[in-house]
Amino acid sequence: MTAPAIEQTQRPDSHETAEPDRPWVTIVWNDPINLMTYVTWVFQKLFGYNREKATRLMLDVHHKGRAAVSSGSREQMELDVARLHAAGLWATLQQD
Amino acid sequence: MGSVRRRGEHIRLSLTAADAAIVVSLTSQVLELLGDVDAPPAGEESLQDLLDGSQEPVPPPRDAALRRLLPDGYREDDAASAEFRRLTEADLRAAKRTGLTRIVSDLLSPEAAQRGGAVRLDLDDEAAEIWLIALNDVRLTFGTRIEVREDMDDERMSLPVDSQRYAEIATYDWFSWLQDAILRALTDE
Repeated sequence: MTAPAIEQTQRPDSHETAEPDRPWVTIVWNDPINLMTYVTWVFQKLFGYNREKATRLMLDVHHKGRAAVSSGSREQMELDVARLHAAGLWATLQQD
Repeated sequence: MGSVRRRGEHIRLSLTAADAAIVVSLTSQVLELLGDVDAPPAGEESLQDLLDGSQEPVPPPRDAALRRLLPDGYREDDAASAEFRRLTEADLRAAKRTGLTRIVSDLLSPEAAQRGGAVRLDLDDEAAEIWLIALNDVRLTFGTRIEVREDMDDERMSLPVDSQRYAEIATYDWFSWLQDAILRALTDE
């Protein structure tokens, strides 16, 4: 499998000074158990992403250890993280 | 080994008696680990918090598999994670219990019973999605318990066939096959 040619911007850690106007992001972390096909399906199912985008995000998780899968308000990201946890993915939210 | 095939509107699942029994057993263990919604498992630190109502932030579970099923919402913010847990963990536990209970009841239903304890189930797409997620919870729990790694091919090759580790990994691999087969049938691959 080859790494995708997608540029991932460097994101600061969540413990930096919180600014209310900076958007929040949902991060999915790599784990040794979730199947790659299943992770792709979850991204399509939960976020309505097409197969290409869902696969690209899954490969980012697999190769880079993490991927930002959605962004928005803190409340929206808490909801996304809760939905990902319900599907068994390892997800957290942080301020961009 | 069993088979998973799409048949028109349904996905037909055929499992041997032994395989169906393993799925029921391991799924029941995850249900036990998650505990009753109203009565968390003894020894959980969150017990008192839950009994006190939903006012206090909820600490993460001590058990590694349970922590994997119910992860932190924030990576480096324990206080925010505890607050997130207070808001979401009860619902998350309940949702997982619903899916896991569905697997067990499907496998034990009289309609599914075949000669000799084998099982044959026809799942519609909605049921297949419930199965996918619940089987994943079983794999997360069992996989955490036996400490699977991303690449275990070398270990698979070198293990004695009669070792317990070999049996554990073979069981884990079989669950992975079952989940993947249902997913492929669902998405028509």
